[in-house]
Amino acid sequence: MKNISVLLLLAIFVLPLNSMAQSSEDCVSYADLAEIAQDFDQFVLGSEIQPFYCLEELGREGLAIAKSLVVLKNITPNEPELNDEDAFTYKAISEKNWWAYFTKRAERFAVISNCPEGVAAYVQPFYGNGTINLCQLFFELNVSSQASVMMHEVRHFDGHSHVTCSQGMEKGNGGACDDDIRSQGSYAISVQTLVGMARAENVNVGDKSLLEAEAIYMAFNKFNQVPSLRLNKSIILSHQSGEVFKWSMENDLVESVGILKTPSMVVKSGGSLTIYPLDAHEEAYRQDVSLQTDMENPGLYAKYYNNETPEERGKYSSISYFGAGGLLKDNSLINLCDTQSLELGTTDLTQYGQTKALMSLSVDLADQVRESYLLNDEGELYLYDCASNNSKEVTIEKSEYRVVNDADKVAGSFGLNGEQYFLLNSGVLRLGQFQDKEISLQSLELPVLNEGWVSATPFSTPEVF
Amino acid sequence: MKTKLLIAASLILFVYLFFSEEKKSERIETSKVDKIKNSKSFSIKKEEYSQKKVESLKLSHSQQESEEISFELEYTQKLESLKVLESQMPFSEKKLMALVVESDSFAGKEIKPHTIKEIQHRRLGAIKVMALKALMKSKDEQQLEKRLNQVIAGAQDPTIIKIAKAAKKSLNQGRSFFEDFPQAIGNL
Repeated sequence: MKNISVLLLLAIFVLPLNSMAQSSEDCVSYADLAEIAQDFDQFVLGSEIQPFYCLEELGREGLAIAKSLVVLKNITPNEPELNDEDAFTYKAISEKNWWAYFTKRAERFAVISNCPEGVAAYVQPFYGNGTINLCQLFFELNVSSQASVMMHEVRHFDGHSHVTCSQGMEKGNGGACDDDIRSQGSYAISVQTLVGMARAENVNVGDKSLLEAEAIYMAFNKFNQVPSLRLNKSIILSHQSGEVFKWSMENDLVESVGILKTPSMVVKSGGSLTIYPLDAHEEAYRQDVSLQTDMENPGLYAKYYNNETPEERGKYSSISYFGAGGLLKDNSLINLCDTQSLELGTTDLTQYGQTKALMSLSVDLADQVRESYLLNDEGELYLYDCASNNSKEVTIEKSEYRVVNDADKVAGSFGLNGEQYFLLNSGVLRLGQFQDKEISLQSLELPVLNEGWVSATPFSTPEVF
Repeated sequence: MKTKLLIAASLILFVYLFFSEEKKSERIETSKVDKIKNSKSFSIKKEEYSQKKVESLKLSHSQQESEEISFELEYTQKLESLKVLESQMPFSEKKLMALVVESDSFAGKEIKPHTIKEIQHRRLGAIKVMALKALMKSKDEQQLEKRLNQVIAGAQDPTIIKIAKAAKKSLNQGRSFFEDFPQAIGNL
């Protein structure tokens, strides 16, 4: 094989993914197959439509390929995932469109009857679109492994090849590693596919853990440069013009993220952004952090808000998705404590004065633990929390903290990276200066003009570097 | 100048010969196409890779099967054991730690790239990662750091040591590595 630049690749994952492997009783539905057939003319549905296509219709190889393609096709998960750490809302997930990526590159499949020992699949050449060659070992893998192999292989069509491992137990093995996960070569795509599958719908907790563990092990085993993690801390600022900006703490730069259809409050909710248009006639919705992809489920708070009349929506004054979080409406707190029933509760705040804003205060520098406070127009702060996770009861107690100036003008507040930020109704972002338990609001210099902000929300994302 | 032209011409000639040889090999392989099966709804041609290569790679199938059965037993036992130990935390801490640091059946063996051995090695590695994650569920940060130090000092698998170091760094920043890392991969 001296001059064939074939990648002898690659049986990647043999995880027992029961929920994926056993789907559809070893058949593929008409709807799934029809979608696959649009991109791969090796699949022909015929004139007689059947609800399912099984071994008899597709043959062993055809069925295996079709099933792995169904997994790939369904990786893009629009369904919400309930996150225990973010229990008051649904955390929708935004992932890359794996299927579109795959179908643009893979054209057909070939079964190779006598591959070298251990090889599951390979492609040839490395550039352009083409055929994915499948070996017998491929058909012995479970369906999630097959999907990962497929994804790994098409990445080679983009010109990514492998290098010799310079570290780890595979040190010295030629073509068994990639240099850097950030180069997003075939192994990086394999790792990402695993994470994508772990986050896809209908994956049980056990399978999810296995998939993520496999991804972590692979990420630290298959790259010569060991991946490092860092937290990119930033503030998402929404402007009255409709444009949304990201102010990065690391480099003190403000960059435009995108432009909304109409000026809106933008609030971090899990890994995505929930958007509440200022025009009360419009409904709240949810998008990914790049404001490119709409999420199917806007979350419980947005749904609750959307069920209100425009007149009622106009009474909402503050929103927080941190800590015990909630919506502030007409001096009442609406939030989720009962995560068993997922029903929101309403707490009358009259006895705590005229509440102006919901505020979250970071207890630690890493912003992992955030306490929730009510701020009234006299600057008093009340710490609130859920009494339990199976009732709607909220506990509220007066805090020693106090905002000493402009408390009646505060629209919202949050902590980030050891600082406390306050957004005023006038559209200016201020910095909280702590002196013992007194907080005074100070002017803040931004890399851009500090005015006209509709909302400000912290957004920290872990990044590989 | 002449020397440069000569070098350039040589390079072009080399590249041409190299790729024409490659095309030739491809043609030889494609000529071996053998249409074996066309089912009603899926058509595919079965092809051969390279007869010469295959002959040199003939193996004892019984030996290979025996090794695979042996691996599956080891894997299943470890996975089942992990599930039980996870449910018994914190009482099972020592046993979980042993699962993380112990050597497995691949220790000292050559793992050829892109083979079933490589896959099996990775599958066992994933069990160690899950065991490490289970060990990290305590709220006591000092205890967590102590566990990670033990893994870093005692693990037989260099990949597990690297993961433990990364988890320790995250811990010192008040973060959870096992939450952050998959999210970071999603953000790539």
